[in-house]
Amino acid sequence: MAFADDLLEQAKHLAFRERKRPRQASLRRAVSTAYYALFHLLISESTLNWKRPDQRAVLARLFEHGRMKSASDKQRAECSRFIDSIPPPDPGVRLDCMRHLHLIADTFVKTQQRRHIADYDNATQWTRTDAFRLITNVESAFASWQVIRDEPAAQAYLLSLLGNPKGI
Amino acid sequence: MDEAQIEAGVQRAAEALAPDVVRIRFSLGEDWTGDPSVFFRVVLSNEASRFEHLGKIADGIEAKITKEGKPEEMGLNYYFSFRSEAEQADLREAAWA
Repeated sequence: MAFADDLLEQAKHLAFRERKRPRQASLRRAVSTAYYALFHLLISESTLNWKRPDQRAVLARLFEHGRMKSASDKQRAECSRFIDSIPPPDPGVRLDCMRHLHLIADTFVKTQQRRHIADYDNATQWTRTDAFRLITNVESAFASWQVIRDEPAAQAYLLSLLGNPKGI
Repeated sequence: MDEAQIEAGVQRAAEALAPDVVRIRFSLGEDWTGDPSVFFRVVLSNEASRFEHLGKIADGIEAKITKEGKPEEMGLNYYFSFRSEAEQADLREAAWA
């Protein structure tokens, strides 16, 4: 099983670690781990495109949370514009791809914010419902990625996660 | 940004989503990168928050609130938190009441 899949499984394990009253530590780690599952899925898929396997781990270190959020924001907006365009886009592979990509980018942005709270904000009380909801979002993003991973738009999204080449 | 417009949209969504949704609260602020954002807090009925239903129900709720509140049109990022009635009864947080 790939590292990202292991992380997602671990997130679920943490969310249900205590049967009755979940500890805040378990829920917060579950949320953080679910985010990192998606983070590492996208990075590992990106670095697979690098020809030399021995350099992929170094390449992976170039990805940054903030830049990945900016790229996902942009991707989400682009997908929304296409999906909501008038006249409506024809049903087909492109529309399906944009819907999946929207879900992935949207989940990345939202989960990253929740991870930030889970890791640093001691004032927030987490519930199992909230943690489980976030994990189901990430599961859906994983499933969507499997559907579109070879599509040109999906591959362009992966490249964009490294950041804007103009540095803006 | 028009807080009243979001409030009105949230009210419409809450009415349409009952009884799965018990109440919706929201606050405005910035997310961790400083982008203007709205944070929705949704209290679900205990039945709606059962894990076998939660994904589908929450998807529908998020879509409805987004459609009615239109945060994207106001240039806001939007985030959702969910808890069940039972969990809120236990935690008794004012921001969710």
